[in-house]
Formats: sequence, structure tokens, C-alpha cells
Amino acid sequence: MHRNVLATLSLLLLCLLVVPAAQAQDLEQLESEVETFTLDNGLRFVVVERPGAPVFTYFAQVGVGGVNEEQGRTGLAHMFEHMAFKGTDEIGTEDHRREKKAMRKVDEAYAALMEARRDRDATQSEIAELEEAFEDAQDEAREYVVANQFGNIIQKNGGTGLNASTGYDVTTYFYQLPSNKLELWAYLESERFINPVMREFYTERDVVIEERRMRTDSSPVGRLLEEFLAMSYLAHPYGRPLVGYQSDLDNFTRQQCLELYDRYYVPSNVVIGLVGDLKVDDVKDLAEEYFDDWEEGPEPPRVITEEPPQRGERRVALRDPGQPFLIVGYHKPDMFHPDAPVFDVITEMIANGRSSRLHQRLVKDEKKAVAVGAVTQLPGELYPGLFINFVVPAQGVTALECEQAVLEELDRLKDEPVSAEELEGVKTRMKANFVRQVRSNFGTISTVVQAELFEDDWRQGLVYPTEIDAVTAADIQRVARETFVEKNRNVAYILTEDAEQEGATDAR
Amino acid sequence: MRGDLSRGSLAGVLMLLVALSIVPSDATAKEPWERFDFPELGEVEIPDYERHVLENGLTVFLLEDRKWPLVEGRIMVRTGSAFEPAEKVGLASVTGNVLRTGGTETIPADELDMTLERMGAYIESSIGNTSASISFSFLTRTADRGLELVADVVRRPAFAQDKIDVAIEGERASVARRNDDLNGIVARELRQAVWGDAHPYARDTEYATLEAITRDDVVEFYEYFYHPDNMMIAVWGDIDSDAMLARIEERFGDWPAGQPMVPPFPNEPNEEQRKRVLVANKEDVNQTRFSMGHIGMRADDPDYYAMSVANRILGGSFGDRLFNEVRTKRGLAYNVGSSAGVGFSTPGMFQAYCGTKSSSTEEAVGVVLETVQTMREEPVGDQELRDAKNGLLEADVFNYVNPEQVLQRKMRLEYLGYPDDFLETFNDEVRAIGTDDVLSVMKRRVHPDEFAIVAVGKTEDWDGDLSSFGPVEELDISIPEPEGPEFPEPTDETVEKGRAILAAAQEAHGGPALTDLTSMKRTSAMNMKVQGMALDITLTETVVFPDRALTEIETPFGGQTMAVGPEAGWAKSPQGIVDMDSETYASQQREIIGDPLYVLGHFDQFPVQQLPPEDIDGAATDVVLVWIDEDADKWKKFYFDPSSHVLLRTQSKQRNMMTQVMGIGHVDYSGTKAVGGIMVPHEQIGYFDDEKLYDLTVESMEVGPTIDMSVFEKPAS
Repeated sequence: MHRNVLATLSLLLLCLLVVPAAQAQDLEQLESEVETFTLDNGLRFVVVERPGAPVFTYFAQVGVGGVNEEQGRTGLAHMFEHMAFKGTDEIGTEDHRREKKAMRKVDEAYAALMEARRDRDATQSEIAELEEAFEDAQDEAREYVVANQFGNIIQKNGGTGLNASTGYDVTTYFYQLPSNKLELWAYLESERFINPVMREFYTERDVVIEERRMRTDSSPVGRLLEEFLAMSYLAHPYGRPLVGYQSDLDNFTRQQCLELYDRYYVPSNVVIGLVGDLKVDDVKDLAEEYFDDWEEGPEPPRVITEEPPQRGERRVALRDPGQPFLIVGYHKPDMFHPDAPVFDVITEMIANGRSSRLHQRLVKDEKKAVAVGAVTQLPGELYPGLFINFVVPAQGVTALECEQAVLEELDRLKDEPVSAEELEGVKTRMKANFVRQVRSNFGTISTVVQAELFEDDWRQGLVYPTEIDAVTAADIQRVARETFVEKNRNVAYILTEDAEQEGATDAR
Repeated sequence: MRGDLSRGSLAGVLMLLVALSIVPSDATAKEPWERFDFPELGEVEIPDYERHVLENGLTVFLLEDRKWPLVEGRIMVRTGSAFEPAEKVGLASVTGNVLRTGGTETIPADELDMTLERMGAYIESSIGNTSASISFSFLTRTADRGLELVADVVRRPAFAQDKIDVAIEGERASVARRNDDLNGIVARELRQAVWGDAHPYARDTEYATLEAITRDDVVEFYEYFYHPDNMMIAVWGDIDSDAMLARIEERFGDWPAGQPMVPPFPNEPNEEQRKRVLVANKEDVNQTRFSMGHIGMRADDPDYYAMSVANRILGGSFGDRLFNEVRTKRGLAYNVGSSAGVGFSTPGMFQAYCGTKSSSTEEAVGVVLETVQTMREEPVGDQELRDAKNGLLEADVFNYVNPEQVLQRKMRLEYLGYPDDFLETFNDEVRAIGTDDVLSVMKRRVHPDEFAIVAVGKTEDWDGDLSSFGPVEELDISIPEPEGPEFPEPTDETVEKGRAILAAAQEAHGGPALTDLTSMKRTSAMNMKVQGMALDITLTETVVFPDRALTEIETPFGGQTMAVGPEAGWAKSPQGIVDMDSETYASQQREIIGDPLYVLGHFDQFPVQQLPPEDIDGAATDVVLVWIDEDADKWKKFYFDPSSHVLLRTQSKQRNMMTQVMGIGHVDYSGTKAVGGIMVPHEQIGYFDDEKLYDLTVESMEVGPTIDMSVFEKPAS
């Protein structure tokens, strides 16, 4: 695959800021390495002792994501993820006592400004004055800030891979440290989970807005994906943008962010994973010393709204200067449904690899596309998601010219049973790839932590090969017949048009 | 028979202590995170590996790592897109791709794909700027078959034409999409500004360069570079070294050496590093991406170590100076940072980059420049330096996490010609860096007054035109269009219609008199613009169709005579008599049968088709395409009045006589009068690329005269 095309595909997945879904494989040795324990406050730890290089990987997940955001507060979970690097009452400040006062002043100045902006009678000069007061208050509060101290501490102690990501279902924090820094890790992470201080909130909001501009506004596929999800979901929050709508971002308050933190960042809603050159007993001691103080909180609410069954096919054509791109999606059940592995197999068979059906047809035979792909579950797994196919058309070919092949290949799955040879080959490939994925420290820990969080059982992260093996040709037919029907279909595509053109091109 | 066997393995396991606290930290540390007493770091095992060289020159690295049931590896080949010809940019990428996707002499492409995928295995191949690699991964139980397939792919690739077509289609898509990615545009344009547009490391793949790539080119590229004495192979995983060496010997040992000279890589930029601001407009974004910089250095430069430390502080880590100033303090960016500009095989580019909303573009450029400049003017703080060095040194342990990581690094260092202990040296050198070293390297190796600043975004929304940073040039980032087919495919309908139009024109121009025309003599007066001068020329043509013509030209400066006969041609001028070269001869022959009078009289000899009507001076005309010589790509379009069927114009691709440049020439005809039963246009106006070249009036014409054939023979003097 070629650089730009590959970048497009990665962008499609990156746009969702999602950690790859957990895959399960029954690997006995791996299983025997995993230990778990839970603190009194409900905080769960998954630890994998892996002697060898003197390093460890930290990987924690919190059961909060885009799906939990209220109307008018899209992007808040991701906003908090940014705030989680701002430090605590000890880290990142020279004098938190004074800082707290200054921060309160900032909030007040902001509230006054927002009220004036909403007030029809407020004059321009009144608003300008309040804007200046807001700027001044922020400047004053900044005096007490030691910028990026949290991250600096990790880096200067040999930390690498410091980052975090927000998905629709989950928020993830991770980095690696030399293994003699375990206590430092315990201190830093307990502090930031228990005592985060949301300093520099409004400046960081500007940073998040730049992120939106980069990932969505200024990216053709980013724009398309936002339209696609919104169209596919009328009711359920999976249809909302992860990075948030511009107007919601513009109206965030620090208080709203604190509310999200209070509600979701409770010990019972968090799983902490550690893998590498460490001992479970050491981790347990440190966990009790540093994380016991974390107060319990009520079970966070689940999302109640269910997406109603789709009544008819939905289509959106984005007339856009970007190059053509096609997404075809169908609603499917959540990850807990017994058919979930069937969708995984279909995904692999239809669009993964050079012998996959769509690649064979569209890329090799018809040469209408240069890349095809499928994602088994978009944009999340905890609630019913979408099975999607996407196609990158060849130069001079439109998205619509590729649609027919996609629909036909999906239809074939309904009536033509997959041969034993093909099915076996697909399964072998999937199981081999699972081994490749799970063998690294990061791969291991991310798989078991996510399973523990989503399914209350880390072992579920390793049963993937068994589940795949159980899928039959009849299963594939049945699922195909139920799912790939017109009224369940959502099609979004880019119809390339110069910025200057006035809707001249026909939609074929 | 074993090849040259040199054990590169380390005896036993080396213990390496990397935990030495590099510089004692501030004795008065009182922050909570500085109060910990960290235990000594555990030992890092440097894995045992083997290195061999087969008799044919293939270098082999082997490493046993039995943890997972996988056998994996990588082959490196000394080649790169640096060596593809400029008119075929993309050739290396296609070759690398199709080496794998094109099948082998033993297994057709699709079958190879299926076989590998059903084995849960992969083999992937690619060629970059300065190296090529083939990577592979197999489950242990299929590893033998796997290695067999790898050898097959590497030694006997089939390069199936169909798969070359697929690969080129993929490259074309990348060309088409290259302006969809803002960051990509900036990276590309900066590379071109720093290295030079046409430099192998920076030049664009275009539709035209892809069009020029043939299968022969691909095979030739492969055959030049893919020899065992030009390769290294590393295999690791669930293997037994001795057994694997034997397998490799079996699969690759009988491959004869024979690598011709590999040229050196072109590591010098073509461009003078100078301050410029290069701006391009992109309508569909609300964020600007910019990057500023110049050529950097290779990692074997003595300044590499200080530069690494300096860049970590400036823009290479979380909370670095650029991050603090641009992102955290001012909220101007999500993505901002800098690159030290160090490359291992080629020099890199020092650059500082940022993405910011349109309306803060100029502001952000200013802050970035200022932040870079500050590091050249003031030494960094002691604590800042300690933290940076500590971070680098303590993170060194992550270079040894996976055994194969270490093995691949060894192979790569050898490929690049770096000493084996390069990584260890790095640590020692970094330990010794002081604040004055950082200041010195920033002063000597980073020159903002030589920065190319590339900025792409929606310029109409910018807060300034960036001219305060340097002379502004506008970049044209538009993608040169692909050449479509020149003419639509002929159909039965268009062919028939074409013939019908020509038949009507034949009738209108004399009917049988035209078809019977075997000879003619024609004298014309021409007025031609030559290098700004208007020249009066008398032109006399004596033609015996289909393959004899004598052309006499009289000018104020003298005359020239040209003639062609059935076998050869000649030209006579005051300088003497010369034979016509074969190209000119062929061209002159084509001129004879391309004469409109001949074509109209004998159009059934030529492939023809009707083309869509075109307007001349607001009036529609019938247009017919006639292939005078298809093999030589010589065509002539004929334009006729739709009711009278009189010839109005002919058009063809030509070389400008004066400049030798190819273009489109056309001749407009008028003053049609009867001569010997034939309707002959007596007035002609000739154009080249729509610019008038000459006027011509036919003064006299004889139809069907008896011609002495000897005039076409080359005279003695």
C-alpha cells in the first residue's frame, strides 16, 4: 500500500481515537502469567510478571468515553483526558493555595463573559471589557503554573510512550518506565486519578479545538466520517463526534469537566494494568499505599437511549474538494452478542489481505480501487455498533462506481456458503495475527485490561481463537442475511468537486 | 559447504548496567517525586546472536527467541529510489511492491497471496529512498515452506504485467490524493525547498513519470540490484541457529554473486539553503500547517550528540520549549515540535513545525521562530539540561526490550556502515554534554536566516502575509493532470461517418480528378516570420504520388532544394549536398501522402474516424481524424464546411521548425479554385500553437504533368 492511501486508512481509524478492540486467544502460558487483585474501594489491578528487560508498561482504562457525554457536552471526555496531564495540587504548581483563588477568579470572569455573550442587550464594548478581564484572570492564574510538570517528571525519569487516548467507550492512559521507578509510577498515577487539578482549562480547550481542526475540519475523510456517524445514528450517542462539536467546545466550563470526572473517575470504573519486570506483591503493596485513599463513588450511569431499528437506507454525498472515498455501514449487535465473532470473520474474509473478496475484485480484477478495508465494529463495542466497509477508489473512479461491488460481495455471503478451505484459511490467519498482536508487552496488557473492564473477566481477552474457531459457514450466511439488507444500510461518500464549482457534477 | 563463517556473537550474556545516575541531582531536592529512593536498575541482557557470510556474499544474522511460535526475518538490499531515472519516478516503489505481489516463476500471484494468507504468514517487500527490504513472518510449523517461498520471491519474481498495472494504479491514486493531507503537502514542499525540486530524495511522482514505467524497466531495476552479495538477511524467533543456517544455505547458497557497482547515495542537496517563505493556498481547511528548516546532518556527524540533547529540549519531548510556548501557554496548537534533522543514511532536515488555526498563522510562526532563536542566544538551564540528559540515558533500556530489536539494529548499523557499538557510544557522548555544548551546536548548526518556511492553509483568513519573515513566494501545489487518451476510441459509427464525410469532400474537390491525380507541380509565394523578420519565400513543389517529391525554396538569402524518392532523400544548399537521415526521410515521405489532395483522393488507405464537431470562427465544421502513419503516431485532422464539404483546415502535431519544440500546428485554407478539374485552396495560413507562422498563396499549379523522374535523384553536385 502506498503512503497516502495508507495514511488515509490510518486516519479513518485514528479519527475515532480508539484503542484497538480486545482480541481473545486461549494461550495457556500467557494466562498463567496474569494475576489480578482488587482494592477495597473497587479499583482493579491486572498484573503480568514478565522478567526480562528491566522495564514495565502501564496501561489503565476508565469506563468513560464519547458515548457517555450529555447533549451539549460532546467532546468532554476527551477534554478531560487532556486535563489529566495538567497535574495535581502538588504537581504542576508553585503555590496551589493562591492558585486556587486565581482559578476561581478565572471561572467567574468566564461566567460573566459567557452571560454577556448570550445577553442580547450587552454592548460590544462591554463584551470586549469582559474578554480582557478573562484574559487577565488567566494570565494571573498562569503565574502559579509549572507547565507540563507531570509529563516532564515521567520523561526525565526515562519514561517513553507517554500518551493517552479517548474512544467512544473508554479512555486510556499509558506509558513505560524503567522498572526501578515503580513507586514513582504509583505516586504519579494515584495523584492524578485522585487529585487532578484542572488548571489552564480554557487554554487547553483551544488546543483541543486545534485538534478538531486537524483531525476533522481540515481532513476530507475526517469530515466524511463525522457525517457518516451522525447519519447512521439518530438517537444513540455513537453518532456524535468524539472530539466534540465546535459550539459545544466553545461553551465548555471547568465545572462541567469536574462533573464528568466526579461521575466517571471512580475506582470501580477503572482497571489498572502493569506488565514487565515487576512483582505482583510489590505492586500490591504500592497499590494499597497510594490508591486506597481513592474514595468510592456510585456506579456510573449506563447509556439508556437505544438506537431504534433503521427504517430505510440512508445516504449522504459530500461534495468536497477531497478525493473520492466510500463508506458503507450496517447496524449490528454489541460485543456481548454471541454473533460478534461471526462479524470478525466476515470482516477478515471480505476485506483484509490481498485474497480477501473485495481486494480481489475491486483492486486486482476491476482495478477500480487501490485499497479496501472493513471494520468489524465502529465506533464502539459496548453498545450496538456498525459493520463497515470502506473503499479508496483509483484515480478517475468515483465512489459510486465502487459501491455495486461492495453490495454484491456482501450479498454473496447470504447465498453462497463459504468453502471449508477458505474459512479455515481465514481462521488460521486471524489466529496467527492474534498471536502477533498479543505477544508484546503493550499488546498483552491492553488485551487483558480491556476485557476486565468491559466484561469483568480478563480471561475473556484470551478466548478469541476459540471463538473464531467456532464460527461456521452457516453462521456467516445467517448473519449476512440478517444484517446486509437495504433498510439497514448507511452509505456515505465523497463526491469530488473543486471548491469553486457550483454543484455542477451529477450524482450518478 | 559453509561460507565465510565469522562468529559475531558475544560470548555468553553481557551484563550491562545502565543505571548510573548520570549527574547527581540537586542536593536540595524537596519535591515529593524527588524523595524516592529508587533501587538499582536490573541488568539488561544483550541477546546472543550469530553472524555469518555465505560464499556468495550473503550476510546472515541469526537469533534464537523461543518464546512465541513464530519465525520472522528481514532482508535488506542496497538500492533505493535514489537510483531511479528522473523521468520514471515511482519505478523503485513499483518494483519493490511487485516483487511480492507479482508472483514468482513457480507460483502465480494470486495463488501466492492465498497460500501465504492461509498459512497465517506474510511476506512484504518495499523499496525506499536508500534501502529495500523484504520482511516475513511465519508460524513455526510452516517455517520451512515459508523460507522456500521467501527465496522464490526474492530470486525468481515473475513481475506479472497485471500486477504492475495494479501497483501503478496505486501510485496514481497516491498522486491524486497528495493534496488531501495538509501535513503531507508541507512535508513535501519543505523537502523540495531544502533538497531541490528535482533531487532524488524530494522529487514528486507524477502521472507522466508513472506512464513511462514499463515492465522491462522493473525487471532491469531488479536485475541490477538484487544479488546475494548486495544483501543481508536476519532471521529470528523459534529457530535453531544451525538448522536455520543450513536452510538458508540450501535456499540461497547456490545463488551466484554478481552485484555490479552500486553508486553512492546522493547525500548532497541541490539547493542553496536560503531564507524564503513559501506559501500555498488550500481552500478546504481552517488550520494552517507550517514547517521551517534547512538541511541537517547524518548521525556520524560529531555534532549528533549535542544536537540530540538540544532538540529534546527545544521540541522533541512532552513539555519541550515549543510545546510549552506554543501549545500550553498560548493554546495555539495541538501538534507542534521540532526535529533534530539527523538521518542515519542521509542527512535529515532540521525543522520546527506547527499546526494552528488560520487566524493565528503569523503569530504562531513568530513564536516558533523566536523559541528557536532563544536557544541560540541563551544557554539552557542546568536543571533543564539535567532532565533532558537523564531522560535520554534512562530511556536507553528501551532499546533492549526485544531481542529482535537488537538484531535488526545490528543489521541496520552494518548496512549503513556505522560502528557496531554506535548506541553505546551515544550514551557516553550524551553524558558529557554541557550547556555550552548545547548553545554552541544551536549557534553553529541551526541557522534561522537560512530557513525555508513552508506554510499551507487558507491564506485569505491569515492574520498576516508572513512577509516579515522573509521574501514570500507563492507555491503552485496543483497536481499536473494525467494525459488522457488523445482521441476517443473509434466505433463502427464514427468510422463510417468519417468515410462518408471524406467521400463528400472528395466529390466536392473534384471526385475522379482527385483519385486519378498522380503528379502535380505547384509554385507558391510564402511570407513567413522567422526570428522576428518577415521573409518572402518562393516555394516550388514537384510531386509524383505516392513517394516522390522535389521541393525548391528560394529566399532572399539563397535557396535550398530537398527531394525524396522511393528509397532515399537528399538536400542541396549553397553548402553542398547531403543525404537525408532516416528520420527526416520518413517525415518527408509522410508529408507527401499527408498532402490533403492525396488524402482526399485516397482516403480508403488510411484509418479514419469522425471526431466531435468543432467551431471555426463561430461556425460548426465536420471533423475527421486521419492516421497518416499510426505507428509513428502521425495523425491529421481535417475540417470541412458541413454543407459545401470544402476543406477549411488541417491540424497535426508538429515540431516547430525553428525551436524544435513539439506542438500543434494547423493550416487554414481559402480561395478554393478549380485547377484541372480539382478544387484547390489557393490561400493558406499556417499556425503553430495558435500563433501565425506564415501566409501562402498558390501562384501556379499544374495537374498531372509529365515529370522527369531523374529530378528526384541525388545530383552529383
